[in-house]
Amino acid sequence: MIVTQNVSKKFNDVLALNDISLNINKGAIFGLVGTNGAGKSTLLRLLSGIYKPDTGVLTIDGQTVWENLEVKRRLYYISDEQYFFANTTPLEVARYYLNIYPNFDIQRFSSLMEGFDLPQLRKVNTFSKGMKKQLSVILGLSAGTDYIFCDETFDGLDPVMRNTVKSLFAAEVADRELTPIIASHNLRELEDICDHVGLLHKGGVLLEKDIDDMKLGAGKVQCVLPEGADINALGLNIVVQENRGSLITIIARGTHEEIAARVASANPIFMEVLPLTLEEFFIMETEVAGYDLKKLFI
Amino acid sequence: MTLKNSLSDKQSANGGVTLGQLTAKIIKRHIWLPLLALIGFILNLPVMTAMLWNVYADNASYFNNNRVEELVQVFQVGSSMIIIVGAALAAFTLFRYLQVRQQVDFYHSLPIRREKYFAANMLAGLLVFLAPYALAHLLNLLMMAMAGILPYLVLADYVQFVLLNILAYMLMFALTTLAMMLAGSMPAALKILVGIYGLAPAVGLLRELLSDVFYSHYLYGADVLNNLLTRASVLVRYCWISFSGYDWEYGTHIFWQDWLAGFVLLVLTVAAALWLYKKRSSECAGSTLAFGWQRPVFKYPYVLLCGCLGGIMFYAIGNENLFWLYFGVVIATTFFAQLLEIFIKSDFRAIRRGWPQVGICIVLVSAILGYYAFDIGKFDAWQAEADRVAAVHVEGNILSLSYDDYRYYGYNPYENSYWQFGIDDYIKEHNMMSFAEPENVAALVSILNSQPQQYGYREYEDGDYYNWSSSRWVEVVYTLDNGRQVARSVNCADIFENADAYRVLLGSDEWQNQLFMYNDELDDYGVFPAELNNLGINDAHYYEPGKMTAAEGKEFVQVFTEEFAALSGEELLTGVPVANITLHFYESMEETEYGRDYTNSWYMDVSVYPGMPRTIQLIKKYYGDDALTANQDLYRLVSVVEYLPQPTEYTGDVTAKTVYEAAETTVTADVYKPYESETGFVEGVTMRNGIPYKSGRVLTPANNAAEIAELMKQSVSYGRIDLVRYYDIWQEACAVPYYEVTYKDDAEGRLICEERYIIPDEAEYKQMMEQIKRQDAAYENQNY
Repeated sequence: MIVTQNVSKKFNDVLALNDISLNINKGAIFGLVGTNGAGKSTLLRLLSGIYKPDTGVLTIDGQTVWENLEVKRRLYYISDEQYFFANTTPLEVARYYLNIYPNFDIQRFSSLMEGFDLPQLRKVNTFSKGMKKQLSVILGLSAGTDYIFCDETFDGLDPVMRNTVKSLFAAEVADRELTPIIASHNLRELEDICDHVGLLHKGGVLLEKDIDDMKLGAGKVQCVLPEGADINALGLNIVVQENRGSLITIIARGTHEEIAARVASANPIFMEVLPLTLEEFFIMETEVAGYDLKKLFI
Repeated sequence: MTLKNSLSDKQSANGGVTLGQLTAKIIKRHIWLPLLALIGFILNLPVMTAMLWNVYADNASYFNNNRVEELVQVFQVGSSMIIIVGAALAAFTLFRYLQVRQQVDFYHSLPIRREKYFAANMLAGLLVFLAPYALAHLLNLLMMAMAGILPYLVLADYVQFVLLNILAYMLMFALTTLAMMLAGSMPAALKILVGIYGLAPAVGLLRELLSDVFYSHYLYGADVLNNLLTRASVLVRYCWISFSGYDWEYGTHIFWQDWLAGFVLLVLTVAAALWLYKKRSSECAGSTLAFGWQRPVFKYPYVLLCGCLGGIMFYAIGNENLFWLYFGVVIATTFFAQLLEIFIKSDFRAIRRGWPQVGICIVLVSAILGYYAFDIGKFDAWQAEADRVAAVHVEGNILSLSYDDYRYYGYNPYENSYWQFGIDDYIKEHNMMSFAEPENVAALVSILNSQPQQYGYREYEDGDYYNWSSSRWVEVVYTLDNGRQVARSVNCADIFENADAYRVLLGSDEWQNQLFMYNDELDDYGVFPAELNNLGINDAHYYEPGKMTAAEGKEFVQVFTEEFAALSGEELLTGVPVANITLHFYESMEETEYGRDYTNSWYMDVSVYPGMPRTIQLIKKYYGDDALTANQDLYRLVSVVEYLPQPTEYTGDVTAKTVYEAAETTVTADVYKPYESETGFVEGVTMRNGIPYKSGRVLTPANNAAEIAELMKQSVSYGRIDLVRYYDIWQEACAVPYYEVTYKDDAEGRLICEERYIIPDEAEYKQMMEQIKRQDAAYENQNY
């Protein structure tokens, strides 16, 4: 389990992380979202033991990370711009990791490389950006660590590869309780993989929620009401409302059933209950907090 | 590499990566470093030997100890260059990852302790040098053995240089690593390294420069702080050793202090670098400085240094005008302060910041330069007070006896001069004489405090007026009664102005006791008087008198030193030497078909005075009875012409030139006048201190033999007067009349002229000098 308690990190005059407190359960796929400069990468570097927190406590399974080899052997960090030695091949990189990560599985590495159709003996510097990302993920998965921290890793992956990686992560989570933390500025990328999301903004945690809980607590309905009917009079806890002619789209708090029943009580000419996107959840949640998330993400 | 091979490594992975594995991986990734070093060292060592072997393959006798010594010197100069560049290159390369965010993220996220990374990189840095260096030396020794040079090689010295180079490499690698730890970017690392190597020497040199520019009495080399600062650099010391020359006889110039300082500094540097590595945050990669506290150290010493240099530069260009000094200060300080601000922030917009600090820096630089320019510390104004001085140490020229030849004690050029930076070392190195007896101290202080006299004369050819001074610059170290030592370069009046004080000094036991002290090196040397100059004109002789035996040579020097030391102050001051002798010391002598062949010769020029009868007797024994009078033989004398001042009152250059031009005639006689230029030769007329002298009576051996003989007895040649200390500023016009003696030069078959003077007594000489001064003053008042 990853616990950060009141963690702050400052770079010269810039406060990159401000009093961050997060709990990430083992086996969860945690999405870390936020705009550029929100502090996602800084948090991942702190979790990886690259940076040392200025204040606060950061533990993984009860142990601090900074210069703790026991913990660091159990985590793997994929940077947003992963470094590979000059003129090296994937196999050479794997051999390097073999001496460093005790559970590095070279056979799994080979099979994954084969599966991803990546050459093991070609120089990495001839790889495309996407291929390098794939290689990083393969190395991370082969390292056999309990935690894997991905910083914008899905950027540059094509949709097929993205899905493959997501599947691999899901399988690892199921098999051996791998805990991936995936940082991204793109909410849509995390939607169908993460079961837990934290939203960072200006160095602070704006929101941290279980996605299922979020989905249970709100619903989205599109409807056309008869003339004279007022959606706001139905007793719904509407968070977001958009009118386009007679078509009304609302996001309201409550269970899907409750919301549908209340709308139905107005005898709508048309009504449809729609799935709520992660982005919409965030917009809903953050607007309550006084943030206009559309300005941040859209 | 195959997949199968890679699988076999899994077993070793369980315990984590070892230091050796990590080091090997680092070296493998930077394999070009040892390869480059190997190429350099092979060219420097075995290839150099092979080239020499090739050149002298047909001349085996070419090789001897001295030649191999030269070869070792070539090895060392080349190796030192490779090592200086290589150490910096290796550290820059191996620790470069700390300054690249991608790389630092990668390395520091891995489960490897930072200490281990540091150790592995340090070890890799050592091995990328050591392996090729060792291999190149093995090949070199093999090559030397094949060339037949090996027997001439002093292996102990060779090994000492090898060990020094290893230490130097490690030290410079560690220092560059330290720079890398302090810097967040390569330009910053370079600047910090330059600072590590050069800041202290630069500050020392700046202090030297300021003292030299603004102080008249600054004594270069006797400022302990400056000596320390200018030497406080590993690079300076290493170059000093590598370039100062390996001496066959004295071996390497490496001393125990070098080893001790090298090892201590290495340990401290490595410890500091490791500590900084652990303290260094990963996020500083890419920024200029790794630590915030560095900023003032990184910026202000350089701003102050450059501000001072800028001020001095403009001061020098601006005709030493203080306006330009401060103009330079403002320009240079502002420029460098803001340049460094931009550099630190890596942002040109930073120029908008730090202006209050610029102002403070300008004030500080102005204060520093003002301290020197206005002598606020009273450096130049300081004068010794005899009752506060416990001892005075002076260099040879204050006694004007060229007495380095009479004593050569203390300083050995092959000794450890780098580690001798105190004032006492300066006294020893400059072979100073020390006087501590109160009357001698008082005499010396009075000499050193005396104000130099200015004299003037007019050049008769162009009528221009020239000043000359009777002063002399003397290097002196005062030991005050409180133990403080004050070193100064003093401009004081000469012997003529301080005759009484000189009599005290030259007659003292301290003076006599400090004569003829030499380094141990001369104890076992052979010696003989080689060259005799009996102080006539063109009368130097070189020969080895009677092939003097070693015992005879020793006896001669023994007699000479005893008699010289016993001379009175008066005789040393006003006595006219009868001869100059060159004593030839030598370490060994070999009879060859071409004559004697001496090794390690060392010469001393000494004067022989009339009060040294036993020495004169030995000179006559070995050089011949007429050795001291040979060129004054009357049988070669043609004529003696008496010259007297023109009776015309001296009224300035117009009169003088008129007289000169009126008397000018064509040179008709084939007579060589060595003291006058061809254009200045005028038959029958010459000038003395602006006064025209005309020839008067002409004496010939046929008609005036007795008078000539008496005249020759009473008069002395210019060559001899030049050696009389009292007449160090001899004015020819003080000897009235003077005589022009013409000899027949047997060797050249032509005539030679020699001027001879009857030296006036001291009171008369003083009186005439006063008259000359009055004339010069009158002339100056009249014309300027």
